[in-house]
Amino acid sequence: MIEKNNTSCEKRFLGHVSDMSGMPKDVTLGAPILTVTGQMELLLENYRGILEYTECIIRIQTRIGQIRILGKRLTIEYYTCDEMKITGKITEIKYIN
Amino acid sequence: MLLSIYRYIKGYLKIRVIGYSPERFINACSHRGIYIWNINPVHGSYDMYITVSGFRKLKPVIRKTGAKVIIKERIGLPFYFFQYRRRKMFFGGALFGIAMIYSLSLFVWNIDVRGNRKYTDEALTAFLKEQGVEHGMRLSQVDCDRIVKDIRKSYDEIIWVSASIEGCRLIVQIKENEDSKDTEDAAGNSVGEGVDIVADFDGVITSMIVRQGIPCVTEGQQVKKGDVLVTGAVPVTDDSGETTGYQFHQAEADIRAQVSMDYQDSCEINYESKEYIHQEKEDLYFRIGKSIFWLGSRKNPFPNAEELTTQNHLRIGKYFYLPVFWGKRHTIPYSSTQVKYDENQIQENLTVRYRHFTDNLVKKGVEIIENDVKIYTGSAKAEAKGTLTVITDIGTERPTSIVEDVSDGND
Repeated sequence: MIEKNNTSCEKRFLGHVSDMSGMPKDVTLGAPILTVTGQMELLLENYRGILEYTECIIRIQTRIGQIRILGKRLTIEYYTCDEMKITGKITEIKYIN
Repeated sequence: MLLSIYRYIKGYLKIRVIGYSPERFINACSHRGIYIWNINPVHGSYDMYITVSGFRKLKPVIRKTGAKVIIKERIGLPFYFFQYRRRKMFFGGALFGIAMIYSLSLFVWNIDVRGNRKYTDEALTAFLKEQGVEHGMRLSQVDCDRIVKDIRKSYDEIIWVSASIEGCRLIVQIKENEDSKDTEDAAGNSVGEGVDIVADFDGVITSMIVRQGIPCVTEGQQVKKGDVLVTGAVPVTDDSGETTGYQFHQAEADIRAQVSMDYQDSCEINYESKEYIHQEKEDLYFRIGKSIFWLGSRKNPFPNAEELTTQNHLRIGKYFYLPVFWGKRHTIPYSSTQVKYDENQIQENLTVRYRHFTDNLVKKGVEIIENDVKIYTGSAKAEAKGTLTVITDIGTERPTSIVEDVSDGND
């Protein structure tokens, strides 16, 4: 419990530092970047790995927690260590901390 | 598009990953920098594409994740060549084709002449042929500087020439001297002769504004063709008023005259009426150089027919023209009957043509003051005849002819 509080304190501190210094949060906090085009395309950067992948759901681990993408006929167009592209009909994007 | 071509050239595989947790396999691939794409879940396993080099790095990933990898498909040029490695003739043909394209690209297949108005393409191409520049010659033998010099040397009226090679085309761009007449006149003056203005047809002078030279006629005077209207020889007189010599100038004047102009036009009373029959015949053909190969019969079964041919020139890319053409010949048959114009139609036809003629005159600044053009209908022909009285510019330039007279007199 104490460790969790420490982590959240650290994140808050880093958030303040990045605000003051003007540095982007994806660099300081390792926050994921999601670029969504309409309902059919999603470009994701700054992630750790895939936890689950089916046609209807993709769960991705990031430094700030999990991202759950729900939809139909979901396909990973490409997957590298830097970014991934998901296509299909995206119905929901959910952050789970 | 470019990426898919690159992948095809390098070769890639479609694999299926089966195991307890294939997601681990995907993550491990990304961590090791193995590029995978188009990942699709299929009944608890995943289908995906992987490069050949990536596939070679998979062994530790498979051992670590415990996944099973099945190759579903091999795609790309390396696999294609491997599959057909025994077909030596095929590869020989492909190599021969590449060699043919390369060797054909060493020759001139098209000579394009641009900017010519007075000299036709055929005339200039024939001239170039005489100089040894023709279709089918090696590109390395084309000397653009030589072509430019030859054309400039042989054609005085071509004032600018550029020759360049684009692909298999030799492009010759020229500029012709559009005001060569003025240049000649200027050259004429430079040798010290004057220029007179002489009447180019009979008429009565109605107005005259002389800027340079001595007027020889007055307003209202009847002149004949060849009469000097303004002379460029300006007399030089001494104190007693006697002419001692002449100064020669280029006469300049705006002179208008009332002129009678004959008008004559005719049209046939009978004409051929064509009724097209909907039985068009199309013939395809190929032309290689001067040889034409027809696909099907060339015979024209119709007694009366119009032929329309469209031809295309084969080229690779924008500039690589090959001496191969293909086209289509449309034969459109028609039945011909002789029909007679009635009087109203004849009158209308001739009137339209007469109006067109007078409109052109008006555009040129001619003022029509009277006309007595009448239509005469014969058995086979109808004629519009008469005289137009117009006020128009008169006068054409001619070198001063007094030079000899003066010298004779002095002698």
